[in-house]
Amino acid sequence: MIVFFIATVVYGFVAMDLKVIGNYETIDPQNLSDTPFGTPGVKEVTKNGATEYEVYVQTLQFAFLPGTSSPITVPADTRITFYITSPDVLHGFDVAGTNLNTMAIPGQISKFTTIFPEAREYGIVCNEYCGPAHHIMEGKIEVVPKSEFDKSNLVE
Amino acid sequence: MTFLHQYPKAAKVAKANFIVAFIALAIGGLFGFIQALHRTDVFRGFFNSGEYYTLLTGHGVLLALIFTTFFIAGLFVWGVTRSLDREPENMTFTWSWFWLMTIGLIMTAVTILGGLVPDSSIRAAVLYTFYPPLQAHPAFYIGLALVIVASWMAGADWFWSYNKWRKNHPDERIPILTFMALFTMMMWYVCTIGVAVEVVGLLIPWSLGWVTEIEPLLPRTLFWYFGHAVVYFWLLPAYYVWYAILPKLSGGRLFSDAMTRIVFVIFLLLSTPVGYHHQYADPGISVGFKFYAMATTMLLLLPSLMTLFTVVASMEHGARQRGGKGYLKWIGKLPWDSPAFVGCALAGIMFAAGGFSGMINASMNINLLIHNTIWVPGHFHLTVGTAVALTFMAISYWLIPQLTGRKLKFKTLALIQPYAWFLGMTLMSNAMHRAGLAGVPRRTAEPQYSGFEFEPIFGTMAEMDWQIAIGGTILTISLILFLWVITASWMGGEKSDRPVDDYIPEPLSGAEHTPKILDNMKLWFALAIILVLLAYSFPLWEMISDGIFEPGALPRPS
Amino acid sequence: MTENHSNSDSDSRNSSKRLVKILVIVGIGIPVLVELMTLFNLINVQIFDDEEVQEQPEPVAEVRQVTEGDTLFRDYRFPVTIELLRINVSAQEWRFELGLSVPDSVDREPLEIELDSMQLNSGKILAAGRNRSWNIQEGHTPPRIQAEWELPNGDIPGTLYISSFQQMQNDTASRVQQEVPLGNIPVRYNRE
Repeated sequence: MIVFFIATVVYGFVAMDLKVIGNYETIDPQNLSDTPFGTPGVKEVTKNGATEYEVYVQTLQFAFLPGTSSPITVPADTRITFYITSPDVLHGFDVAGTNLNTMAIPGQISKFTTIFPEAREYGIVCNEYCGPAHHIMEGKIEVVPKSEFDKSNLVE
Repeated sequence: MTFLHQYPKAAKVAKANFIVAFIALAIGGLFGFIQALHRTDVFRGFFNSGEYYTLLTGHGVLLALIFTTFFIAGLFVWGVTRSLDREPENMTFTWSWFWLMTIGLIMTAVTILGGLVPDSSIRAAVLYTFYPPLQAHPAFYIGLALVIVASWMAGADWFWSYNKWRKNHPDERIPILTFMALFTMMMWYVCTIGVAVEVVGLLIPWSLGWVTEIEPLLPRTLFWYFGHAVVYFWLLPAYYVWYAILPKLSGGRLFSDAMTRIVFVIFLLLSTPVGYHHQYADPGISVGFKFYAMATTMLLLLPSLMTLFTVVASMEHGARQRGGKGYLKWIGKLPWDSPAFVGCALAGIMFAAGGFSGMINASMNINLLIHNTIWVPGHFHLTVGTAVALTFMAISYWLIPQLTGRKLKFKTLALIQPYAWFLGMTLMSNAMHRAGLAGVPRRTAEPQYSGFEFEPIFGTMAEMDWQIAIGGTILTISLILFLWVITASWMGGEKSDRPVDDYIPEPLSGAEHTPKILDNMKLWFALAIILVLLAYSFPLWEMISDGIFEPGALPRPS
Repeated sequence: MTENHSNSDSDSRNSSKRLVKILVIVGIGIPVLVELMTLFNLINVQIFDDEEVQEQPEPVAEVRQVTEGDTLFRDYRFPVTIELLRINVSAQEWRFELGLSVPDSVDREPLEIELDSMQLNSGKILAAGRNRSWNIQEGHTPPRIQAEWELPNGDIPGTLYISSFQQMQNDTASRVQQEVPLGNIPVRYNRE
């Protein structure tokens, strides 16, 4: 039975592409301005000839940057890689109701890749206690159809 | 003659520990009630949402760390004294660990409650996981360190008694009540190293301002080195009760002595190297080590399933002694009118349910669906909140009379209490699990957001909120019943030489059938250390090789 | 384990049996029922509701919440714009800051703005207090209208009651009050 449970998880890894983050890459949380996190937002990259997007997000007391004051807008059916870090305390980055769910730890970079299959809105919740206004920390991801994706808001 | 008359000194120590435990239970439980109403938006008039986190810290620390530790100390004083048939070796030493632990508790509690005083600079709203760079008052960390050191002294006290006993009984097997206590404490020594290093080596200097920066991932990893083993530190004493006492309460005797010892050995070996399963969603720890933690976690199902079979078999034996027959009909012959039995049995049933949600938590990638959602508190209110807490409450109905020499009062209320707890917890935990699947986060004062709404698989958010609030209310009533029965019996129960039947019969399959190697404490302790080194040495090295406090973050007041 | 050993022993044994029965039915029966219902619903949703379109909740007639940049007293001579709306958090305080601006043309007529009271999300109501009204005389440049409140830690303003003494279209002056539902107030950690 125990073997079966472990096998289930391995199956998820291999066959369903259910990956767990686990990279080791540190960053100085007090000096994010010289890194790509200094200009957080959606960036366009080309990998293996295909257009993909990278999203750099800072989680701070008590907002996602971007995400809170303006939604993170990305196209559907495209590979999107998120890079998340925190300049202050621990936060969570949970796309509500999905398994996109990671910790944001000062000094570490969380990285995960996903493809949003359809155009819709998702809520982002900070799910790790980060201070007295933790409960107001929320954001939004707006997935738009690939054809309607507006590239004028991309950052360099 | 009951425990009080045979071992008056030990009885006094055990009672002192229980008093502190029950006070912590009362305050922590009250906080829990307020939280249940607050976060479900049923009633938010007690405190504001910023103060919620102070209450949450109090709830976690007082119940998970203080109530458990003191209760366990009292329980083990009782068990070790009784099974070795000797009072503690040196009362000054015994009382000094009790008072040290109490002083630590008071320091910690004062810093937490300071958060409810307007403009107080003494604050500790850092929750019971106290992840830096959120910073609490230094006294919070110092108090915690004192509690841990004092608990080490308590363990040393029991080993001391054991060594003295061994001198007089060179060839005897370790009595089972002592065996279980000592193995639990060995596991505690292994796992508390992590939190001790974290608190004493990193957090205390940092909170005093001797160093300004801290690397958040390192203390977090050290915390979880301790943080999962600590749940077994709570659970093993519940197993202690299920193995040693529950069979007797159901009218029979323990099924197998060997099985019991094997289970405790496995827990000593595997409790600590599983900590990363709390960090599946963390960057900075490689997938390979997370996988190792998952495998060891899953292996821990083994001793839990063995416990299930052994305890159920013992209960069935008891029921058959009482005239039970048939495949399942014997269940009706169990003493469903005895509060101590009912509490333990219902706690056991709920632990099975908690085990199921635990398997989900342990599965690395499925975990991401529910990581840090309210599913997780839903899970551990089944395990520590019921399997452990309800067992502790139930066995108090049997232990307190032995320690006070007084009979239990209000037996009807005592009988209602465990049933009420079971009902309340099912309602609350069921809704918490369901809300967690919809993505509702844990540890938040107001899980309502302006930009989006949660989409439950079925049912509505409002209905779940109400279910949690009603469940929490029933739990509070149950807790009040417990405290009332215990206080009334303690103060005014009828004095008696034999307030309960405290005889514990020998196991069906006794220690003579148990392999001797299971008693070899040095061997198992060494193996446990090796497994821990395998799991932790490399990732920890990776974290500290760039400097213990690097990459550093600045402190943030809580 | 019956209640007592008096003459009514069998009576009390019966009543205790009844109590146990009730307790088992309520204390174990209801939990089992709740779990079975959950299981049933889960299976039901998985197997039968796959195709069903998620029922969209009826859009509730929502009160539009006011945020930074919005204008109050829009239909009057002197609209008031919210310039600043934020909560500043630092070591020991939880401060709500509000900044308003009025059009420059205000110097032709007198204008009075007053913050009457504020209701917090916790339900607490803060009264006006001092320095919460601004009187702008003819011919003066409008002062900086800024107000701060020390709030209980963690609490968030829900509704602001603000009034203004304005010249109406027909050249009479009157006092108008507006109820401002505040939404989405950024909370920022003050690095000082």
